Amino acid sequence: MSVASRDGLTVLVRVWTSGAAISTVVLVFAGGLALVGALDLSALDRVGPALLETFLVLGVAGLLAVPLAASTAVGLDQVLPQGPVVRGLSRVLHAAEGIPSVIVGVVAATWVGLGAGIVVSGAVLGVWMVPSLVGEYRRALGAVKERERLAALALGATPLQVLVYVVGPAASRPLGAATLRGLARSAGLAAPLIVCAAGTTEPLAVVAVRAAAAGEVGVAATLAVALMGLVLGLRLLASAVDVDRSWRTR
Amino acid sequence: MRAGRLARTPGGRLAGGVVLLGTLVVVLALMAGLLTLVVQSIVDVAMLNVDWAVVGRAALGSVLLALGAGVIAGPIGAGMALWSRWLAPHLLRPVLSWGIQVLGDVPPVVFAVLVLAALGDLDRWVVTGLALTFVAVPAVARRCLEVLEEVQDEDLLRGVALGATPAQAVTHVALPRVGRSLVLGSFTGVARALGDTVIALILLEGHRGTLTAELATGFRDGALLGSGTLFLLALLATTLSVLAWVMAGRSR
Repeated sequence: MSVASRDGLTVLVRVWTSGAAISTVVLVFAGGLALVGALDLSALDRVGPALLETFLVLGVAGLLAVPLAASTAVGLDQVLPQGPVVRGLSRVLHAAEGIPSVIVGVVAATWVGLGAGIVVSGAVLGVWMVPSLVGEYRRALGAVKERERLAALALGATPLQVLVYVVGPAASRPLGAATLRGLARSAGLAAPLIVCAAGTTEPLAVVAVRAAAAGEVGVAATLAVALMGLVLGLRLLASAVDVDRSWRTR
Repeated sequence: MRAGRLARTPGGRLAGGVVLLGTLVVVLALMAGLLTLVVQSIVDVAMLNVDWAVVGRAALGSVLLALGAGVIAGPIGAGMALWSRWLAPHLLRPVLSWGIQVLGDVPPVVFAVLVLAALGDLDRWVVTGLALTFVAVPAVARRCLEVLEEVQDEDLLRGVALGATPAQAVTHVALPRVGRSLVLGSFTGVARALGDTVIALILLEGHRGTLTAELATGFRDGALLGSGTLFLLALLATTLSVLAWVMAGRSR
C-alpha cells in the first residue's frame, strides 16, 4: 500500500469517527429538546403512583436477583472446580444475557397466567437481571488482586475467611455499583410486564408505553422524562459508589 | 487456578453443590419455559395451525427494520467507539465513554416518545426505524468499546514512536487487529433492534409490525400459540447468534 493511500485511509477514518460522534451528540441533544418541548405538566400527578410501583417492582426484583446472582458468581468463581460444568454454565448464562426481555415475560405468563401482581412482575424482572448481574459480579470478584488473597492465606485464613474478610470487602463497591446498574436497566423494561401483568401492575415504563400508544405524546413525554431521571439517578449513584477511593488509604 | 478456592474443603464442596443446584434450577426453568413454547410453536407449524400472512408480515417487518437500523447504527456506533477510545481529545474520552454507557441504559420507550415528539408526522415505518437506530447505536458502541479496550495502548505508542500520527497508529495498528470484531460488534445493533418490542408496540400499533410486538399483543389477546410467531422469532434469533458465533470464531 502506498503512503498516499495510507494517508487517505487515515483521513477517511478520522472523518468517519468524528462524524459519527458529532452526529450522535447532535441527535441526542435535538431529541432531548423535542422531548422537553412536548412535556405536559398536568400529567405530573400520574408520575407519583407509577414511581411507587416502579420502586416496589424493583425492590422485589433486587431481592430475588441479588442473592441468586451473588451466590452463582461466587460459586462459579470461588467454589466449583474449574472444568466443563463451569465453562458450560458460564456460556449458557452469557447467552441468556441476549434473550429479549419479552420472552421472559411470555415464559412467566405461560406458567403463572396473565394478570401478574407486583411480586410476580418483580420476579420476572429479577430473573431477567440474573445473567447480566452474574457476569458483572464475576468481573468484580475477579478484579480483586491475587496477592491480597495469597497474603490472607499465608496469614492462616481459611478459604471461606478469605472470601468473607478479603474478597467481599475489596469487591463491595463494584458489586454495589453493578447492582445499581442492573436495577437501572430493569427500571426501563416494559415489554415483559405488558405481557404478563396485563394492566394489573403499572410501573413508569409501562404507563409511558400505554400513554404513547394511545397517542398522548405530552403525557408520555412527561412519564419518559421521569423514567429517564430515575435511570440516570441510579446510574449516577452507581458511578459514585464505584469511584476509586484507594488514595485515602495510601 | 485461583488461590484459596473453597472447593478444597468439605464445606466448600457442599456449598458448591448447593450453588450448582440453585443455578441449574434457574437456568433449566428458563430453558424449559422457552423449550415448551418453541415446541408448541413447532407443533402448530406442523399442524398447519398458523396464519402465515400475519407471521410473514411481522417477520418481514422485523427483518427490514432490524437491518435498516443495523446498517445505519453499525458504522455510527463503531465510529463513535473508535473516536471516544483513541481519537477524541483526552479530556473528552472518559465523558464520552460514560455517555455511551448511559445512552445504552436509556429505556427504548424514551427513544420512541422522543422520535414521536420530533417526527410524529412522518411515515410510521420510517419513525420506527429511526427509533430502533437510536436504540441500536449505543448497543453497538458499547460492544465495540469492549473490543477496543482489549488493544493495549503500548501497541499504538510503538507505532507513534516509529513516526506515525495517532490517527495513523489507530488506522494501521489497531484497526487491522480488531476490524473483524468491530464488524461483529455491529451485528449487536441488528440483534438489539430485532429483540426490541416496545418501540414497535408504540409506533406500529395496529400495523402488525414486528415479531416481538406480534408476540406481545398475540399473547395478550390469547392468540399466540396458533400463530407460530415464536417459532420464527426463535429461528431468527438462533440464526443471528450462530452467524455471530461463527464470525467470532474466525476473528479469534
